[in-house]
Order: sequence, then C-alpha cells, then structure tokens
Amino acid sequence: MGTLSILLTTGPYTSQNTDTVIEIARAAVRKGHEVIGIYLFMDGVLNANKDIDSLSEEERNIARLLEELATMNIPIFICPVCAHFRGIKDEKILIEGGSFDGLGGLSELVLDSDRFLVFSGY
Amino acid sequence: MFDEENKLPESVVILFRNAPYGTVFNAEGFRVCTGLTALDVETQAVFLDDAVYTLLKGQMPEEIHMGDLSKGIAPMIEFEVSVYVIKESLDERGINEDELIENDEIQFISKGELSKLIAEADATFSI
Repeated sequence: MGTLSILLTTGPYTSQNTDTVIEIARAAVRKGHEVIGIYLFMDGVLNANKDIDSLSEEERNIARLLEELATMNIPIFICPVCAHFRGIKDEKILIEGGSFDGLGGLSELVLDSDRFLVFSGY
Repeated sequence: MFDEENKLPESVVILFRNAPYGTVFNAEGFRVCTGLTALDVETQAVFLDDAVYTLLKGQMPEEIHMGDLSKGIAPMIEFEVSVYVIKESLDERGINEDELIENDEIQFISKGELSKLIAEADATFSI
C-alpha cells in the first residue's frame, strides 16, 4: 500500500475542492493507503477555521469534516504565513488536529509520499 | 432608471455562466435573484454557456452531497424572477429543450435577444 499527501489552495464552500480532498482522503484510507498529511496553503488555510458555521444541520460543516479526518490519523497542516495574512494568527483558531507548519513541512510531505495531489483553482 | 429614494435599480439581468456543480456560484446566484426580487427589483436570470446544464432533468448530485439545483428554478419563478435560457448554448452542447425541466414560464431566447435584454436593463452582472 502507498502513501499519499494532498495540497489544497482554495477556501471552503466556493469550490468543490475541499469536498473532493475529504472524499479522496477517506477513500484512500478505506483502500488501506496512508494519508501522511493534508497541507492547507493560500486560501486553503480558511478551511481550518474551527468557527466555520454552516448555519444548518443539513449543510455540511467543512471544519468538522476535516476534524474527522484528523481523528483518522491524517495530519492537517496549515501554512502559518498564509494564515497570518488572512487574520488567523493563533493556533487556538484552528480545528482540532490542525497545526501550523511551514513550507519545510510541505517539502517533507512531497518527499515522503508516493503520490502528491494538488487541488488548486476553481 | 434607478429608484431615487432607495437607490435600487428597477431591473437587473443576472448571467449564469458556470456549470451547476463544482462551484457554489449558481447556488449563490439563485439567492441573489430571490434577494433582488424581494426588494421589488425586476430580476431576469439568464442561463448560458455551461450554466444551461443547471436546468437538465434527472440530476443526481447526492453523491457529492449537494442539493438538486434544477429544483431551485420553479421557486425562483414563483418569486417572479424571469428565467431565460440561451438557445445557442443548448445547441452547442447538443441539448434539446425537452431534456430540461418543464416549466411554461422558462423562455428560450437567442444571444441577439439577450443583447436587447441587457440594453434595456439598468444593470447586468455575471455570477
């Protein structure tokens, strides 16, 4: 079985990218692969705001779905510089299981995974 | 003409140009339309390019955890939004009118007729 890491550069709700990342990560784990990290970069950091509120029980809450991934031992890394630019300056704002990690961390993910998937643009 | 007291346009054309799923643009466009018409703005929703897929019958978006956007058209019409579909966009995609949801209020127009709608509206924007 292989190792997978994912880069996500778009924010929640505008595009389907975050949903696709969540589904792919789940499917990979189901198939016995290891997802060694999801790296949230540029607007992607906005997915990790723990206060995301989808206003309705029927509407998916992206923050909670990412937290579910974290409970499946999938680390969620957030670019601290991108987050700072977007007003997310404190790890306390981040979802459970999310942590700041710089681009060095991203480089390690690229090096350590058999496949590296990028979700960028609408 | 703009309503001087409330500073609202009297008529607005909203162009839907994106495919129904993959982004939230069309769903938010529906909300914009109903919001405008609730303010008594004469609102015209025009579906062209890949947005014509929004009106296809038989959509099954449950797998991607989305609602069926075609079901948003009838409520928009009930809110007195005028709904137009561009004939050339259907032709380019090989879609027949009978493949779309049925509603007598949906109007099929050419791009030439769209130009007229835009010329006569106070404001036009793409979503």
